[in-house]
Amino acid sequence: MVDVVVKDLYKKYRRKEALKGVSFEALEGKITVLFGPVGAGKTTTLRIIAGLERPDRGRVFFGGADVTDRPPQERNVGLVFQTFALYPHLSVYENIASPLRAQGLPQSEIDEKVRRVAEMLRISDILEKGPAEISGGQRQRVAIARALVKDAAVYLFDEPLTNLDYKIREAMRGELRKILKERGGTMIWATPDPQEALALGDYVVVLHNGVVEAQGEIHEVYNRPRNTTVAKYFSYPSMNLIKGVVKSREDGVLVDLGFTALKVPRAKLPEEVAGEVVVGIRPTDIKILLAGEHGIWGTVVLTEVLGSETLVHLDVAGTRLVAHVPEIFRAPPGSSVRLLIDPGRVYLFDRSTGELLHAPG
Amino acid sequence: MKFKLNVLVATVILVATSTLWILPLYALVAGSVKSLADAMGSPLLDLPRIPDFETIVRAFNALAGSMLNTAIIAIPATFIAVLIGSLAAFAIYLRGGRVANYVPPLIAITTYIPYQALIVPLISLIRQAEEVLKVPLYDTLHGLFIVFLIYYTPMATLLMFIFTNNLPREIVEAALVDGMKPMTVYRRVVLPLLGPGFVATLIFMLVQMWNNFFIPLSMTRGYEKHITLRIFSYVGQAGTIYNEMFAAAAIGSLPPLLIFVFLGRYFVRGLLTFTGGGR
Amino acid sequence: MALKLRQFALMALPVLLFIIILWYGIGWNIYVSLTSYSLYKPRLDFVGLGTYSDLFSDTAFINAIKITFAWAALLVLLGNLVGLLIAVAIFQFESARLRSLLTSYFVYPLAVPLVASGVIWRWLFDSAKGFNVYLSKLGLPEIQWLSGWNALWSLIGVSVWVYGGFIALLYLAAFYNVPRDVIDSALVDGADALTLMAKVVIPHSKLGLLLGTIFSFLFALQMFDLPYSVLFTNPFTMTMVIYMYNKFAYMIINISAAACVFLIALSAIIVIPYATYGIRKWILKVM
Repeated sequence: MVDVVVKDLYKKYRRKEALKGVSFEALEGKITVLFGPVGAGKTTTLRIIAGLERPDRGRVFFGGADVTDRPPQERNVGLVFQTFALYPHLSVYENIASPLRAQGLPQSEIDEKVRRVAEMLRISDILEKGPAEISGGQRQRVAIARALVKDAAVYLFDEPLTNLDYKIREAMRGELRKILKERGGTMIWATPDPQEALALGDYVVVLHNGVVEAQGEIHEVYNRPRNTTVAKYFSYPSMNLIKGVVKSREDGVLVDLGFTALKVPRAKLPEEVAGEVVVGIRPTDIKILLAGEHGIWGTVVLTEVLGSETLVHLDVAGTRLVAHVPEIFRAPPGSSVRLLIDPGRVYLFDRSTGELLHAPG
Repeated sequence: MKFKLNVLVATVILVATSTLWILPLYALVAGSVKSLADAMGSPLLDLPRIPDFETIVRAFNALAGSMLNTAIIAIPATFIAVLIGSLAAFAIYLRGGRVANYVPPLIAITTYIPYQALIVPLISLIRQAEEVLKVPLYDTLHGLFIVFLIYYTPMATLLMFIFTNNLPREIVEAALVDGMKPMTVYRRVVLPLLGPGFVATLIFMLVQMWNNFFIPLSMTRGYEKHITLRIFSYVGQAGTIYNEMFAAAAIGSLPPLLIFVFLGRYFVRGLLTFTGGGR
Repeated sequence: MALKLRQFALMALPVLLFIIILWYGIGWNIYVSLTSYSLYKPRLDFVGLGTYSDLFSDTAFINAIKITFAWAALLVLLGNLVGLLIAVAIFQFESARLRSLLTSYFVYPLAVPLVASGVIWRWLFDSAKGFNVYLSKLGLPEIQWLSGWNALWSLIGVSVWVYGGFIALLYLAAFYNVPRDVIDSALVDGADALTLMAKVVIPHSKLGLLLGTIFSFLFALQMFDLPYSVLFTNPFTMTMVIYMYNKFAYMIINISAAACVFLIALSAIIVIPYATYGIRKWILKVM
């Protein structure tokens, strides 16, 4: 178990620049989430850490030692592929045992370790089966077991839950964090799902277009997004970002959004910032009122029911907003609703650089 | 049953062409069981009056030596060529980068140009090697074996590279990440998964080596060192007697034909992969 | 990345060695073709392009070129036609097993040693005992199959029999790769079998045509076993390889080498584009 440090990684494929100077640290014993949308560079980064790709520039360090030139079979890494990559001609037992056999451990030790990890992931009953005979969810557990069975310097997980249907995905999140913490070790988990990231991670590295936008303790990064990119992507549901004009700065900031004005309490803007700012409002901080006289009028464009919650897409005097309702909410498109925005939960970002100027709380 | 015009037309076409197609084989088999008198008298495509197997026995005795020689050369040469070819193919695959981009096309060029054009320099090299090593090579079984190896290993490598390249990349990568050394990956993961491709290459190349005429013709004197030479020895014999010639051709063709009948699936796969890259 | 240079060299050494030997052979041919090396003058005197001028003023070689090209042209044409016909016919059947069986059937001539085929066909073409007997029985005029230029056409026909099944195989492989939904939507639109083949399947099978042409050409360039085992060095069927072999047998090495260089150069026109572009695109899937 070691610290993993990547410095200044650059990687270009035929036409696309996948990584443009990626640097971060994954602390030993902690779960670091590598977060980013599709194409951000997560898989490339993991593959470089595992040794399956060479960076064009930059170095990788395991516990201070430069491993950049070491081939993958000498790095002692555990890797869970997005496609699982199980050996089709071997049983589940042999799949899991594979890294231990490669190390030349005695059979008794191999047996003990395999069974222990199989127990941990609740796949003890399918050890004799072949990968073709088990379900997707089980295959994923086997892939994870194969990675966890050895004492690796670092464990890498490349979006292992993405290929599963969402019910299993949600169920596995909690269970996995427990298993991972129990196993212990340095772990880097790649995912495009903010909720998954928050459920699993201690730290997060937010990757976008091959660049690290933010890194740090996960809840801090989530609650204080460094810039509009982080705010937009590393947020569930995606944060509403609206242009606003600063009207006054005394005792908080008064921002005119066009359809309403908000007085953001305890907000202080630096001298240089004047005129326009970007206002960030989480959909979860927009309440839809069913009755009453206060609130802003908005027209429903469409309602997206997701499981047991709803995202309501609204048109508010020409501005598009998304509101989150924690239950199933149906309203026909075109109907009018009243909204309430809590000014105390509002974010402010710089209009030109996108940097965070004020965060609530 | 629905009447389908296209199937009917297809059947007619196929019946006609397949009759034409089998004609030579029929003539071969019919001719080889004709007695001497029969052959002298009757035209080729007539059925034998009474099948006479003595011709076949005689031909078999005459051919036994060369068939044995061919087997002694072709079988080990095939195995060795495919083994070292697949090892090299895997090495190229793992090395990746510029090697994997430029070496396979180079091997392909070497394989597709008319191989006969390289026989003269090869023989000159063999002659030089004879002098240096003080070991006879020209017109020997082991010399022929070496030349077969030189010619056919690149083809085996190309075929094995195509098959290896078609394996799911991530499974090989998982093996490396597991800590296996390249040779172990080859043994435990690649070889088992290559199974059918490996066999297809073996079968295809075995038939090629058995049927090759030009290389033994150029590398040896006489007719004994290879079956195709022995069959060829019957040609040019004057006269109207074709039965023994046909018996010889039939027996000599039997091994590859039998392989084709029972393992044809692999032969076809090897053939397809060699001429267009296995789909 | 996973393989260090030394380990790569170890695993690939024998193959690389053989390839170097073969390329040495190409170089040797070029070198010797520029000398006067032969049985009569076993010295490597540099004569520049003199050997080539001797080669191209030899009518036998010019004939060999014509014969080989005629062979290539006709094999490409007839091979593709016959192959396409057989492939289309086989494709009409639904059963995969039947298709596979039929395809194998037509490919069988490739499993037979060409000298053996040569033996058989030599006799099928025999004036006294072969096809002619049955032609006259049917009241048709007898054909002198192996006399004069007839020999060339007859043998080209035999090569169509040898390679036709293989070309059908190439087309069928191309047919199987036509996306299912393209066929299905044509069927839904009411296409009958003929329209389906003509408008949908065949246009999607350009790859089959391309490969069929490439390999017919290469097989024609390499043509030796068949004509040699039937007619030896008959001038009407003397392909370039036979010419080259003949010179080699008489130890006129420099002319033989020059012919080899010419042969390699001709094949390179097809082989180099196919090996570089084709292999990379279709096999390595590298764009």
